[in-house]
Amino acid sequence: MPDYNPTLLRRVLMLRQVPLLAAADLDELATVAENMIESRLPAGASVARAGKRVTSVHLIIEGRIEGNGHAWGPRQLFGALEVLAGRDAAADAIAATDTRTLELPARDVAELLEDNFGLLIATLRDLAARMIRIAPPTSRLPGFSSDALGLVERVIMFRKQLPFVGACLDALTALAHTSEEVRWPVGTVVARAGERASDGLIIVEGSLRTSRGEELFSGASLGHLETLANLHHIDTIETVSAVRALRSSGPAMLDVLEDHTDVGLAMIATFAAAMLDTPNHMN
Amino acid sequence: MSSRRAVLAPATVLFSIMVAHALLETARDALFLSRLGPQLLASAYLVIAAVALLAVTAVRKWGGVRDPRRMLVVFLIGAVIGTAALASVIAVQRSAVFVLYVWTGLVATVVVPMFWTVVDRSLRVAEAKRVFAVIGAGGVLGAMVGSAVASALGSMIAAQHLVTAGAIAFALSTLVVFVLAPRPLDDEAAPLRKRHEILSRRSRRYVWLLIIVGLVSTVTLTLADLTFKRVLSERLDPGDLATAFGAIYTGLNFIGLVIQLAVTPRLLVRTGVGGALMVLPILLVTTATGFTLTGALLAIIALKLADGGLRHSLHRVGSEILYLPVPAVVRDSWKPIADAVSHRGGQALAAVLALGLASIGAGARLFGAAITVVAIAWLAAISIARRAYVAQFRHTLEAGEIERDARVPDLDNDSVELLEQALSSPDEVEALAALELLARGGHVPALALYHPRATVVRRALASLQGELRPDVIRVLGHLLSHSDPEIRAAALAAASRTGCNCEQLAAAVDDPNPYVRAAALVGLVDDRAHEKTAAAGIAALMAGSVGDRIALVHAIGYTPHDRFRGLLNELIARREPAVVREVLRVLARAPQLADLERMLGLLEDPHVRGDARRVFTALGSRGLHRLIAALDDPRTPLGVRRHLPRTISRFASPVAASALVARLLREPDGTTEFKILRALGRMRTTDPKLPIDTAALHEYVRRSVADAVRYATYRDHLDAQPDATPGTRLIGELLEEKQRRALEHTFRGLGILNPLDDLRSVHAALVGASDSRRSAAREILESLAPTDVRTPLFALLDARSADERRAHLAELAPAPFRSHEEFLGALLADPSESLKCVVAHYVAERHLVALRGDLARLRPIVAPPLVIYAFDQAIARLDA
Repeated sequence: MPDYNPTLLRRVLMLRQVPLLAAADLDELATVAENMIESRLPAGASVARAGKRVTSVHLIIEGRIEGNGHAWGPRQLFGALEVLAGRDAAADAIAATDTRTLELPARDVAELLEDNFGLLIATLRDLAARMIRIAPPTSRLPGFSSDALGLVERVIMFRKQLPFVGACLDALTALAHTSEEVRWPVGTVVARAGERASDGLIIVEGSLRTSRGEELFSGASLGHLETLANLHHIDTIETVSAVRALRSSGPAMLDVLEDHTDVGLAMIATFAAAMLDTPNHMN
Repeated sequence: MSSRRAVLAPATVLFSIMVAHALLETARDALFLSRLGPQLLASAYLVIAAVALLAVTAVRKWGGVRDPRRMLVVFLIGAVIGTAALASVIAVQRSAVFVLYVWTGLVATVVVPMFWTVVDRSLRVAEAKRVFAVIGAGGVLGAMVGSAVASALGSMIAAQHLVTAGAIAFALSTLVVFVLAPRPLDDEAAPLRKRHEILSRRSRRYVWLLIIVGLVSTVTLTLADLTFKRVLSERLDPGDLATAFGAIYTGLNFIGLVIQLAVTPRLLVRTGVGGALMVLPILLVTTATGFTLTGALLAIIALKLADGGLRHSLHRVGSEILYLPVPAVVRDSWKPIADAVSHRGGQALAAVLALGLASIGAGARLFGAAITVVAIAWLAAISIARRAYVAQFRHTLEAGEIERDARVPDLDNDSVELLEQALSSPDEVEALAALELLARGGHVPALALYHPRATVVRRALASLQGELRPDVIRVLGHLLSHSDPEIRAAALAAASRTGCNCEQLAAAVDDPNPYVRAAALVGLVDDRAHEKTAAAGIAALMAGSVGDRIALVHAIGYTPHDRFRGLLNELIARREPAVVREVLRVLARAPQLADLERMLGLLEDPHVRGDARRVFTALGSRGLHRLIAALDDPRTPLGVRRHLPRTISRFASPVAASALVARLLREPDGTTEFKILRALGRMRTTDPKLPIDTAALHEYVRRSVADAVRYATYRDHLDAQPDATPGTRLIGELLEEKQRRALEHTFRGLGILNPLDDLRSVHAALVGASDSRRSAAREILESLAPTDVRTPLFALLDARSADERRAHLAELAPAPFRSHEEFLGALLADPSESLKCVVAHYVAERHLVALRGDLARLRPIVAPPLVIYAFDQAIARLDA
């Protein structure tokens, strides 16, 4: 006898239509669906209060939620960034019309991501793609000797990069083992606009210039976000002096994420917080 | 509240209640036996049972138990008033003695359970195991003091005046409760809304089981008590009964107190609740059998000693602990009833049994035989309750957990109808989602090929597999002229599967779209008249763009034939991810075309790994044996080896599980080892009956605990050093991670051994913030962890200081280090490569030349380049 569960099936059907979840495995979606609660919010009902913890992510089935000058409609997620970053709501949000949502309690979100690698990667890709537009700040690296970089130096370098700030040492060590120290002379094109990013680079010494004229120095990272997001380089980047850098391949980054889901979760929280701190971010 | 007060306050409360109860009980027994005789005891029990049940039901209905503390005070005030009233009439009314007997039973039925409800609400299980014995000792001591006072008063005043003394004692205990009774905890883990009802249902079932255990135990103990009293009343003068009972109860209570303080806590820790609860029924079976066989007075005295010594100590404490896994909301409303039913109901049952036995003229030895039989049933009930106790904790944890392993439900007619409705939506996103779900169940309807959105039609065509249904073939003809080239190509290829339509194919070989062209060329490759054209066209596609090659593979996928084997291998060798992925999709449908060695290499690439795994699975045992051989082959590149465990786990067979377990203990690479653990965990969760080598896993668990112990000890040593530097902080952080990781390995190992026990939740709860969840997890772990790892594991999880940890770990922990250099030398010798590197770096940074010899001696010969480099770099810096 078939195991027919119309509610679960309808929810999976709904979840599959959410752009963020378009690439997730169907059984992963079923797991998310199983943990959701269907909510009916009458027009005017409060969904979040400024300064208070956002308790759930709402997937809107029908109706609209409004707050802080934004509106969220069907197939959109309300409260996702706040929950992922563990932040309070910046402003009140209400149901603008009678609204039906699938609600996922905040406390379950991290566990679901940890358990379902497909979901974790999909979320990470989405956030990494949005982070590229934010242009995260870089922090200068301490001076390293001209000797080849050792494991500890590599770990220290990774820790200073936004995607890896919350990563555990074990994960960074794994990444350090697979990373490669590279040296380029002046005038080397290290990335071309439109080319799919496949590596992340951290500049140890020297400087580079983007096709938009932006200068990149020691401590700057390039390609990490694009590689995580599986996107193309926006700029062509060329060395303007002899450059020494640490390169990590995309596959190595994915392997580390698969083995250390805590790293993925830390990245997601970092990205979500950075986006919330950026004026006019889109939730 | 201080921990001393947490124990002493409730112990004092129980002491005061039991003093009052013992006074009243002594007066009651003496008056009853002297004025009415033992023949009315059974009737008195029946009346007590009826009255107690009525009272508890009434309290539950009208009073509720929202605040057990307040209810306890109310009950005690009632006890004072009722006892005082009886004291005033007992001298003149003979029937008042019967009422007193019932009243004393009623007061005990409502007051004592309510006291334990108050205590249950204020403690966690682990605490309860530690302090219940002391609290219970307060009760035993109270009963002892009460009996002693009664005995002393009994020799000076008439028995009826003891009733007045009882009323005064209850008044004093009311004051004590008011001041000292503990307040409830309020952080019980809140279950998810929808799990709440399931947990409540399971908890009620569990409470019913406890009621049965309680009923059987009370029947046994009441029969034992009746038999004992019967023998005593036959041998003693009625006037001496009050003094004699007072003295006997004092002696029994003294034994009980000693057991309570010296035996109960140790027994609870060593044997758990279930083991501790077995002791009394085993003693009763033994002594009752002895009495039945010999009729010796010594046997019945031994029986009473066991009863009196353990009933209010070990038995009471153990029975109370059995209620702790029940959520407060269920426990508060059900426990008074459960106590009344099991205690008074049990007494009533025993009374009926005793009356039955008496009616057939049974002697005391037959009573002994009856006690033996019921005590055996009690043992059986405890063994069931023991398992249910742990299961109840598991349910509590589950209720706070997410649902982890949901699956898309199978499709029946209603669900297909639901999805077809969504498929007919003009909204492309909704239609695609529905199509995907339908295709997963093999239900792609011909209707999908008429969809107005080309994307939907293309996806529907790509989902068609195996023999085409007639309704699909009919639609394909119509799609051959579709404006979308990909649809035309798919239709052409799909149509060629139903028999070569050479004219249509030949006409399409020059189509500008590569998909159409490729479909035509692949379709014509077997046709003699067009074979050269087809070969040339295919060669052109091979030499063309990535898009051309994808189109070619796409077309081959419709008719995967052995003749394309070389071509597919050549395409894999080009390492173009998009093309390789397409090739692997074809090979998953036609695994006979796959080259195993190439497939193995592809596992290294995360972009195509999933597709390569599907090919291995499709290859069956041939694929599995190649994977196992690669896992055991030291020449297999690390990048491939690390992805073998998960690939092997996909076979979900005993052979696959056995290969992974065999590798677990000898795998040198930490990441691969972790992946083996994860793979085995997944396999056993999916199929808990999958056989595995438990001895090897047990050994692995032991090793992981030893790792955690070592890292914890290292960290304790480091924390004790003055002057933390960035270097030592980094080492400390790494040691903490290593310890955490080793514990995770331990729990994963235990999870593989016990796949139905959700060790993952247990681990999460043990390291989480909720006290109540940690407490539940601890009980589950205690029942599952092998004895040889239990002590170190709990030392790691529970110890609040380095000294406490070392005291518990004893010789399991490395010996204390005599110097900082010796400590660093131990870290350099650790199996962890990352730890070696960080420490080598620290040694060089601090210029600790004393460790140069260690660096040179411990420099690895076979290790990843960065590890060897870390040692070389450190030595060079020290030498500079």
